Amino acid sequence: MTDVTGHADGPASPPAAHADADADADARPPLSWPARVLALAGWGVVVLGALGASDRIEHFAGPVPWRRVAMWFIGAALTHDLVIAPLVTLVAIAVGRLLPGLVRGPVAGGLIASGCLVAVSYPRLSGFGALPTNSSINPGNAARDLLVVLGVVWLTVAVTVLVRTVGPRIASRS
Amino acid sequence: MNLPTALRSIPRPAATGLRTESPLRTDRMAAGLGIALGVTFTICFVTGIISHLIQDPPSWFLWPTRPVNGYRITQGLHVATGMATIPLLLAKLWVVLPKLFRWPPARGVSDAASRVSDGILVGGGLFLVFSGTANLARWRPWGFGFTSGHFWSALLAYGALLVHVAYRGATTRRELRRAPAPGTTDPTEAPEVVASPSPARHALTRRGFITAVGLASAAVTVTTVGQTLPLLRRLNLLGPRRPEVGVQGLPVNQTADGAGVLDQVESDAAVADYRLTVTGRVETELELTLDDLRAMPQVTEELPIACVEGWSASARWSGVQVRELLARAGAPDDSEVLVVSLEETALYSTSMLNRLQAADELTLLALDIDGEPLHVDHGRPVRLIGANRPGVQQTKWVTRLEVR
Repeated sequence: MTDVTGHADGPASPPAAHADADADADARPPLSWPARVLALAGWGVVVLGALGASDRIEHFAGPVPWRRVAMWFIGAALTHDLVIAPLVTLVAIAVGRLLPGLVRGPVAGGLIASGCLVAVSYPRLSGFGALPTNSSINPGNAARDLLVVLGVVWLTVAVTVLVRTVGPRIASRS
Repeated sequence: MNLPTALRSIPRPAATGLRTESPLRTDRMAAGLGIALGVTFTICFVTGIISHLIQDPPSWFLWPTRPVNGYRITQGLHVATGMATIPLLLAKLWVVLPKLFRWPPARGVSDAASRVSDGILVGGGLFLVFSGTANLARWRPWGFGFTSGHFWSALLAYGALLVHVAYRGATTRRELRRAPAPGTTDPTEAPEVVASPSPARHALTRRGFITAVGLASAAVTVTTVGQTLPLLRRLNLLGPRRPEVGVQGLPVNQTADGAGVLDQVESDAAVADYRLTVTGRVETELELTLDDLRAMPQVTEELPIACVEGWSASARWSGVQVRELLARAGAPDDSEVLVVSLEETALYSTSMLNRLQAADELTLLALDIDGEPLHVDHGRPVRLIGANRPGVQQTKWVTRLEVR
């Protein structure tokens, strides 16, 4: 059996409190008074944001189509839950199953960094915002720049793997 | 049947076959990432509110003119922190993902309210970092104004964050104060696991996960923050702006062509017809040609253009002090000034100088940049430049000062 972070059956998980414990809401003590005040203040800010977004407040900022804002909130969460999280899960399972122990950590770290760097680069990479009449918007070669950065990341991964594999052998010979 | 009992009676859907337990998915890990996100969200929220107040100031808000680079710092921090938040946010969502499938979905009204709030926090947080990052590259697929949308979304998400802290703060404090008890240490941290093929086949140890997320956050920052931080300019490979790329060595957001003013500012004949007027609460209204402005005392100052999109660059600007023009027109000492562009109908076609900015020695109507007359895309023949102001308020193609 494989869990969603890509580890097959091994030692039992520690008895530390798990973030996915079903019982956590049951075990949660009632809110303290400061926490209740904070929750109320938080809901106040949420309501302010909702009223503003739906054009019921004339101050602070202009109105926006609240249905579209809601659609983007829900869409962003669903994209994460239905696309990004399953994809990361599959990659994590593959890394856990296919790679030897000394390589898994650096490769997983490299994948995390690479994924974030690609995500950050995507708007520029896509060229959606480019303006032919304005050379200072998204200048340079976005693909080349990203490849350079990813090259550095994976060089670091390779060096880390090398140090982990060759280092102990050298130490054991001396 | 009361509500909690009713919720508990909802049958759990069939098991997916995937276990969700992981040494990474602990309350302690969620708490640590939560603290980091609390800090980054708060920095973004506070700096974002500052930027919003500067651009649309209420009557009680008086933004100072010093430090000269103040807005460059606050907005640079806003964008850099937002970018650095991306790995942290994705990591946090990864750690707490199983909570999404908690069953029953809620254990009462209070729990249901906190889950609704968490949904707003997740959706809002993701939308904020996405829209903020995409906006840097002028990609705005959401179909509504970025400034208003980002502002209201920030209120929704930050309010939900406060609710989240109210509900989870006690757990966070408990988890971070708790020393790992004997027997609760992470088995994947054992040196032999790291040094040899592991039977557990974890992709990452807890320490490895934290290190990887931290390094990802650092990598994003180092490869983008050079948009505003001169020290790291050469490492700015992924930022969508280069502070040195643009006409006259300075980036341009809005071109004269894009603003629809090219005909009024490009040719020498058009510039010969140019007039700057000073009107409103003055003793003598002024109407000045470009030659009149050049005949006035010229002041040269090094000032930054600090864009709301997080890039900034300094240049040496030469021109006439606004306070000198106000003095010649006989404007009162406490004057506020509406600066009006030839670009009459656009969102940023005007900007306000508060009484501190109008009287400041560094607030110029610039005619030259680095010793050359302004390029049309930098506001030829006359643009506003002042200390500690957003780039969108450094109005280009200035044609009128309305004293109030």
